Amino acid sequence: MSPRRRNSLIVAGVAAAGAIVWFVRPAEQQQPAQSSVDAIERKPSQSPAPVRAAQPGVPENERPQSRPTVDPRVQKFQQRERFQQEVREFFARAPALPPEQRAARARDIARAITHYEAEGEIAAAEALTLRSGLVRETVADPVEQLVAIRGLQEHYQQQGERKQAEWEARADPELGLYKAREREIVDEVMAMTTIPDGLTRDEYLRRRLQSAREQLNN
Amino acid sequence: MLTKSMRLAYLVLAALFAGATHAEEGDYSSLQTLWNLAFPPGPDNPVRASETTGTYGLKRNPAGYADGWQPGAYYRWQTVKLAPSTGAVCGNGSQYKFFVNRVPSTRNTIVYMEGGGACWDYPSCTGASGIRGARNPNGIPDNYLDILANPGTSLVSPFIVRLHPYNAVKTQNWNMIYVPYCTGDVYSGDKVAVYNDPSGQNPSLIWHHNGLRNTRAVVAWLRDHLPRSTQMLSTGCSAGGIGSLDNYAHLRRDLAPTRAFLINDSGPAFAAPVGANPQQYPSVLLHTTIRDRWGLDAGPLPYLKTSVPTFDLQNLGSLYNAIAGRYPNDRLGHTHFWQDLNYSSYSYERFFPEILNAPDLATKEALIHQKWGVDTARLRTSLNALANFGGYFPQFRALNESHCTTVLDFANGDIQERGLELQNFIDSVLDGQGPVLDASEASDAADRAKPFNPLYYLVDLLITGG
Repeated sequence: MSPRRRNSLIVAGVAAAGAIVWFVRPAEQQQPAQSSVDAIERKPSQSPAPVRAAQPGVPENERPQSRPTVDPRVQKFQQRERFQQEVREFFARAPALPPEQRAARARDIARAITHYEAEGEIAAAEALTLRSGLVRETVADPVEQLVAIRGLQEHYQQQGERKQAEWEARADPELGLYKAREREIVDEVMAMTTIPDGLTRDEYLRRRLQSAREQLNN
Repeated sequence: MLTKSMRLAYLVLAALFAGATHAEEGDYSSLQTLWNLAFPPGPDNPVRASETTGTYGLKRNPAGYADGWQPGAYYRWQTVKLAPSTGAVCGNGSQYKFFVNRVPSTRNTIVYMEGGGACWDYPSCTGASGIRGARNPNGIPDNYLDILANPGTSLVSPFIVRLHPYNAVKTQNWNMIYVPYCTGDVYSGDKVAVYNDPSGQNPSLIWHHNGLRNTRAVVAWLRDHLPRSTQMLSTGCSAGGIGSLDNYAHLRRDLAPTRAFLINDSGPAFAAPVGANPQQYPSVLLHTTIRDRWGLDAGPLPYLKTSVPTFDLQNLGSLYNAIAGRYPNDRLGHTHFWQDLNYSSYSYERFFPEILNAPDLATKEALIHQKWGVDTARLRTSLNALANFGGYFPQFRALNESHCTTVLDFANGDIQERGLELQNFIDSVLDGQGPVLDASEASDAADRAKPFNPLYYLVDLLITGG
């Protein structure tokens, strides 16, 4: 082994130990997570999931009282990874699943989507696409399927229109001030017979307007 | 009995072992991924002072500017605001912003440019009804991605979602940059236009065709906040497709990924030499108009030529050859439908009186298809000669006027004559070896013979606001 590689491994080992010390901290309680949906419905501060890598092969009666638990960020990351895996598996295997199991898993996934939407980790369009996919996999009747997907679309459309209206209702005094100033500057520059600094009229106008925006933003 | 120290040693070994396996080039090791959760990696190639100068230098947000960025907020669509001093601004003068969805597990990045038409006069830039215009004439809301804003040409693409029911593509695991569209100039312009109301009833419209400066400011921000990408895909559909093409060279140069990819979906820059006969080069009239209205000849095109020297300033369509030649190891692709009735309408409808005044819709569409066919055939021939720039041209999809092959899903972009699916083309660009796939479909019969697709029907309702 070359000295450089050996040094790299030592550095990696130290970093690994540091990372583990950082992420793994004692906890008094733990409950095993059964699925990403179970996990996300339990708040990390209440009962975090265990470090799975530390558990295999450890008999129950030999586990220490103060067992390592995962940093909430790691826990959240692991839950997200499991969720993504479960969704991919579901859509890959759905046609082969018994109807009851398929419906149950679709319900779980739908609940998880709701969770991640609330967390801001699934955007509206992605959520709509996924939910439409769940409908396609669980509703056999074509008409019922269409009605259900149309219902989803209307839901997201209405939600979007509401959010758009909320955004537009917000006053933007800076933009209002700028638009007034913008008009003045345009009128002034368009009336100029000579443009300073050897600039073209277009470039001079652009600079003047940017300068106005900068002043208002400060 | 396992002691605590033994468990610790086990974890160290497990982490190190895990670190030896990478899913693909650019992915962090498992250990590094965990580390990144607590210590998000910052920039490793920030903008240098020398790069901030010049007309299209990388103008950075001022130090301490409240851009909204949270480095450790993984998987969330974060709104990033660009200060006026960066030169960025929306068409209506409002603040320009874009969106970042970061993951802890990879350096790889997709830059997705939103589609949404184009504008070059008062009616089209004000969003007047009855005319094809440009998206977001009132600017970009902070919560833009929460409002299902642009289903026709944006987030419903499998490229830019983490999970898709039926299509997997590696960018779903990458850092995502969503560049919204509010300047009506396919991300290429640099001019403050003053458009008079043809009716004379309203004040003139002051419109910032500021696309190039906005994109430059986005690049500057990315350089200052994220690690350099190992793999980067520049893509988008429609205006975002041509935006990904006309901004590719400076993105490629300044973001400096190890491996770079381009997929221009349905935003062709057709060959149209200045002064050419419109019957021979149907896009020349559009190009003449936008060169003037968007200020292309004054700054953006000469600037583009500094990155791709063989680009012919007299012919926007020469960009394909110029990029392919400048970056021979990049894998590049262009795709659109032969029966696209959206981009084609923008390209010809308002420039050819026989189309504008066609006696009926069928005649109008036939004339548009004829011109689109001329332009597409020439582009196809051109791309066939480029090993690293593939062209994929299916015929028809019963969705969104056959506009954009990659939105909603990758389905029904098939070329039955050759047993190809759109996914084959995407895989060829992103994961292939040797020449990038070229394929074209001669007949739309098989596409039109497909059964009614109720999902497409519903999505069309959504797109049209129905």
